[in-house]
Amino acid sequence: MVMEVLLDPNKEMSGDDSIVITQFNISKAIKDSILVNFGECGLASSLRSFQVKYVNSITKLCIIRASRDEYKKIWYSISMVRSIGNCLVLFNLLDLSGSIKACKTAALKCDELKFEQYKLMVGARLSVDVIRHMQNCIEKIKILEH
Amino acid sequence: MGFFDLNIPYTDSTPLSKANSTVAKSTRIKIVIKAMELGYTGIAYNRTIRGVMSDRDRCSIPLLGLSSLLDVAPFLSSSVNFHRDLLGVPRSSPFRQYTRLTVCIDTASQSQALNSGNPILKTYDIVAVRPLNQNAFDHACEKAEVDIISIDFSDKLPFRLKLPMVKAAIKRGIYFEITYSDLIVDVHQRRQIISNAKLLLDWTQGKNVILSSAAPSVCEVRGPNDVANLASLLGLSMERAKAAISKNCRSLLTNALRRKHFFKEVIRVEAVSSSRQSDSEIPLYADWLKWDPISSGEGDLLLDDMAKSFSASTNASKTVKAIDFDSIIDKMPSHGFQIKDLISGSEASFQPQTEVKSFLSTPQPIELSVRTNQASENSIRHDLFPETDDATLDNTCSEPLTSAFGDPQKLYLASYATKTSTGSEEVVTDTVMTEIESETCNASVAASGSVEAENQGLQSKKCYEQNFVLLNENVNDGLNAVMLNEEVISHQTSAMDIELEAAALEISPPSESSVETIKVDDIAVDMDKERQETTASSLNNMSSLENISERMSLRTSEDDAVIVDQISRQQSDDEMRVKDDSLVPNHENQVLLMEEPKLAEADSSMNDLGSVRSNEPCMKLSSRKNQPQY
Repeated sequence: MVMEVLLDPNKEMSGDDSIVITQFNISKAIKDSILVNFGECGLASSLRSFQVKYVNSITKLCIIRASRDEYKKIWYSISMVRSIGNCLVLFNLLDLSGSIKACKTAALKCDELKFEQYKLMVGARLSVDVIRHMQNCIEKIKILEH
Repeated sequence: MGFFDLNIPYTDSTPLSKANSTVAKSTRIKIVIKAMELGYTGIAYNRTIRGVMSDRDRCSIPLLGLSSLLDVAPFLSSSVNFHRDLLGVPRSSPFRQYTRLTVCIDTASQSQALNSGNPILKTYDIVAVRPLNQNAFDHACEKAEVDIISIDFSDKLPFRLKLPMVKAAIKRGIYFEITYSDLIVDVHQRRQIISNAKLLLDWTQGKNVILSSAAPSVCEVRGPNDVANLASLLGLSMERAKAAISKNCRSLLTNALRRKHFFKEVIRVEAVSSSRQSDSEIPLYADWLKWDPISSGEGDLLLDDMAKSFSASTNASKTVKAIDFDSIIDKMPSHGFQIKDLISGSEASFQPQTEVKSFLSTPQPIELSVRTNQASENSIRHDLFPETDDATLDNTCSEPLTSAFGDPQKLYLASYATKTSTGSEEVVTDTVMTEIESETCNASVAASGSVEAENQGLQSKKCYEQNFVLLNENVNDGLNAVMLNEEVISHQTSAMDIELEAAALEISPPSESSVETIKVDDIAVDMDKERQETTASSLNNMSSLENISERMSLRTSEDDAVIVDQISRQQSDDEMRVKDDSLVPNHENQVLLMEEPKLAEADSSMNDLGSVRSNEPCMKLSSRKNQPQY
């Protein structure tokens, strides 16, 4: 059915927000990776159910959907992604669950924690925009649907 | 259950330019931080050498301290905690660092170097071999004393993997390593790696396989779940794949560290810090119970106080560093210690009973084929065996334990004479102060110490007191000491002490005439009591042939609780016996009995006990209730 994969992208150390990640970016990068690793056929069969559902560019969190048949391949391809555009990235799986509901709860939790870390790192430079953006993202998670 | 990444490349210490080295160092720090953040609990710095090893290759990898990591990533702790929670790793488990060496092997002569006697290999925690041709691979699987066989899968393999070889390696406890960073880096190499690694994984079914990154930079490290997924794509079940980065690594580390720190894999010697001495209320063995089987002694970063202080944890300093036998042995004079030298230093070292002396805490069997100390005319009179200069060491005993007498912090080993032709020497069994307390943590210690006592053809007397951890007497001439099979002993309870050690003996200074006072350490006595039971059970586990366990129980006149079996030494030459060494000063009421289960090797000597002769009237063969079954 529905396989959601929660990822925490963009863990490279060298850059700092050199690229803003969006749904499109990530999706493209992953598709390229599937193509390289699993070929046309692999891409085609995964594409049917593959979707990047949610991306939070501040905390670098994203939720990715995949089918139960193909999720391992997609997961592997995601691990193999080295860069998005010109920016080196690293994907790390945070949570893997079978329904959107479970993913939502996990995502909320992770988002909160990651945002705390972000605040620590940013320190005084925290701007209101960012906070508002975070609120929006959290709302988005809550209305995520199958 | 923690996750380990046991291959983080460490580039050599002779950089071409200073800039290179700083870059390399910063890369290393970054990788370490990344690994920590991703949730790994342990890493190993891997140094690769090729060809002949020289003395320059000794381990010189600097372990990173918490402060250096925090300099680069000040908010490490929150991120680490976050990921650890997600992975299910306890937050407080320390982050461990190990050192590893990978030797690339081409020729047969290089493979010969990979044995347990190689001192350079001993400086590293983990030893890996990378065979480059068929012979090397075969040798590595069958004979080499390594922990890991690491094969470079990224090119066409120069040799064939053969199933019987692979099976032989697994049987010996060697792990195969698959590195995954090449998968990420290069698309073309991916094909080769996947096809080669798949073969290996099919044959081993994931048993004895570990996965690690050989990440050249920080972008190639992946989190534990991702790595497990890689392996599952290569054909393993998810459970086995997860084990490949956690359980297998952990058992590999346990074995490797046991090999490194423990003498003959059973006995560990630790120096007791002098600060302990003031703390006599705390029982000695409390520390032993905290033995950490995969701690390398240093390099464990405790993350608890990271958030508070951002400073390097100070707990690491409390871990007791194992004494390296080799270094001690090297410093020993070849003829053994002169008692008088020792005695002079011993005055200061006498402690009240509760003092902790150095103790043998190696779970490795101590081969007490110790060179006997030069018997001296000393006033120490034990019932000593003649001491000879050239102890007939047991063949296999390469590192006799010797007691460093005058130094309270060193380990004392009772040395005893081997059989020598010279009868007239007085044996000084060593150590006035011998308090050997073996570490109970490793149950195998108790059982399996293959103690090789040299058998002296004693003309002189007979029993002497000593605390041996394990004695294995060698009959005259180099009968092979039967090494105790340490593996037999299960490790469970750390409370397993070798009874021997429990007894802390202090022998009065030699100036006292011929009377050795044996003071039993009260604590030790208590411990003994406990341990007898545990020891007894453990003893039963020991393989009959190989195990010698010594238990010393003290029976003092006032305290009957502890009983030590004591068997005097035989003086006859030829019998190979398992002896229970009994140390009894002639004059002593207090008999320190050491009971050794007999080595079955001679087996005929099982009934030796009866034949044990002792000149001492006070020698008793105490109740055999604790005798292990042979």
